[in-house]
Amino acid sequence: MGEVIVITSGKGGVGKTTTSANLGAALASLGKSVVLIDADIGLRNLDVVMGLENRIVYHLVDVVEGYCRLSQALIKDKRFDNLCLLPAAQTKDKTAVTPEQMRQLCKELKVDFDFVLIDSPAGIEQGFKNAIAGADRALIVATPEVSSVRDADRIIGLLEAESMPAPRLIVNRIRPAMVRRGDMMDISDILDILAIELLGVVPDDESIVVSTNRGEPAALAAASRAGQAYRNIARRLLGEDVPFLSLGDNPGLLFRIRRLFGNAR
Amino acid sequence: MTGQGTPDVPSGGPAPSGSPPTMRSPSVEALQWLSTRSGVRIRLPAKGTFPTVLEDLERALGEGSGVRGLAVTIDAAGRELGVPQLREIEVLLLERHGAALLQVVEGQSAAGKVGGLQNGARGARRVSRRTPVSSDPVLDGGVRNGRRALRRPWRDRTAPPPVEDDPVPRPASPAAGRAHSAAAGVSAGLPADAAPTLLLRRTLRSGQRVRFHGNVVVLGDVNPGAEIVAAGDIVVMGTLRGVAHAGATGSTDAIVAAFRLQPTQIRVGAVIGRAPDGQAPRPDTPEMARLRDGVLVIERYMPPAVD
Repeated sequence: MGEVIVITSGKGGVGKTTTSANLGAALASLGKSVVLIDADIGLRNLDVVMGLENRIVYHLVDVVEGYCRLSQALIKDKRFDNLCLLPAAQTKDKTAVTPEQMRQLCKELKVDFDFVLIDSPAGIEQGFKNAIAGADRALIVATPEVSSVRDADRIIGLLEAESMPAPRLIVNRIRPAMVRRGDMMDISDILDILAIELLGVVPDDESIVVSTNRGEPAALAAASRAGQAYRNIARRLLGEDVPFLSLGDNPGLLFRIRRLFGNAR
Repeated sequence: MTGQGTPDVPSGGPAPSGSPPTMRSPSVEALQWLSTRSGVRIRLPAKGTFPTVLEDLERALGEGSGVRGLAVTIDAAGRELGVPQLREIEVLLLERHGAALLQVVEGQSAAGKVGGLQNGARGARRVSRRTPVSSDPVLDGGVRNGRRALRRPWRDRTAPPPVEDDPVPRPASPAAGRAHSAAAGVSAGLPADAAPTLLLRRTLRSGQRVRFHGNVVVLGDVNPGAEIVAAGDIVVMGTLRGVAHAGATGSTDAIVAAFRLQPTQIRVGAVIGRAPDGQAPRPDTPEMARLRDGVLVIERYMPPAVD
């Protein structure tokens, strides 16, 4: 029996879809069977980021409405046989699916896959409720901005209300140089407010933009620093103890993260 | 997950203690019973008058061993429960079955009218440990906690008047209070006019809001975007970053104290104070906000001398 993990943030544009795609690819490259669900109905992106857009025949709404079988809607990744995508519908909206249907869907999928990763839409409305309905646990993506952290806090509160186990945090798009200058929130500032476990820190990296546009997850590019961060996060998801990336020439940040973990709350 | 997907027959999942009485009924309008991680959740029938609902509930609770010591969440299923009705449920649970009423959820539409803590879109899904109520606030379990946290005499103070939308039903019958005193145990040494205190053992996150007709003590942080409104004092055993309104019913001697006071806004009575624009000093010490001659001042927290 696999595990259903929702990737969510509250705020838009912080990298939920990129994180979903890269974690999916990284977990698949580690030999796990993974299915990615794009729960952002009406604004589907995950297929584009995965480079699978041109293979879509059926989508999530077709499945829940019974127009096709689940297996027909699953698109196999070009790179890995053990990675699948269940795309969102582009012509419907969030109300096309109910939380109960999502729960049922996740239940079916986790029989066949080690990991079911759900890419949640931004916001806290119907789409978010659908996305978290079937999830066993959640990963929160936040960027080092006050607005993003505020929204993440709200989301954590909402997840608590669902009796979900404490979510884990991925800090995305951090810029060590700016943190060093004091122009950007650092990890400890964020953890201070959110008080949840840190799963990974992904540096701001131009290669992400390139790989996203090409539909090639950066996690598969050996040279990409962000890709390395995603690979590490995937290994931590599997329970490995992977040290945090040294972000460039900044021993201070690494030290701070280690220190945070030394007295984990 | 304990959301709306409450099954209409008793849930799977391990029964917390013994086997809770099951209400096997084919009708969705029947009372529903669900064991959750935090205790037991009971969904009241959507139809029927309150007395019949109460009867159903009594029947479901059965001989009374099933829920003893557990926290019970009542899902009112859209029904609007008045304070006396809540009181009846609470008395039934506490005195007949030894269970604490943790929270009341009114269903999605009427989010959070009764519950003290609103979780935004989900309505008042989760209210932290509510203090049991009694006709004598001195005997209130919450006051005992509050006294410990505050170590502060209640001289010169009359019991604060209730806040509107009072989350905790106030006492209806004196009999209930007496019964309570046995449960509460200790009551000596507190002045008779001590205010009830709500103890929240959790961090309040953005979008969460607590209103209470007495004092509020938070064992955790109050994050930006969260809000506490209390008729009495507010004490945060953590960092206060959100909005705190003490003395919300006009009391000008209410205080707001926190281990780290970094609020978005503090209000005491009708006076509003906000953090200065730009970088404010952040002393690493507990602080307290209060009114002095009608002006909100923040000072270092000095524990009062023990009597």
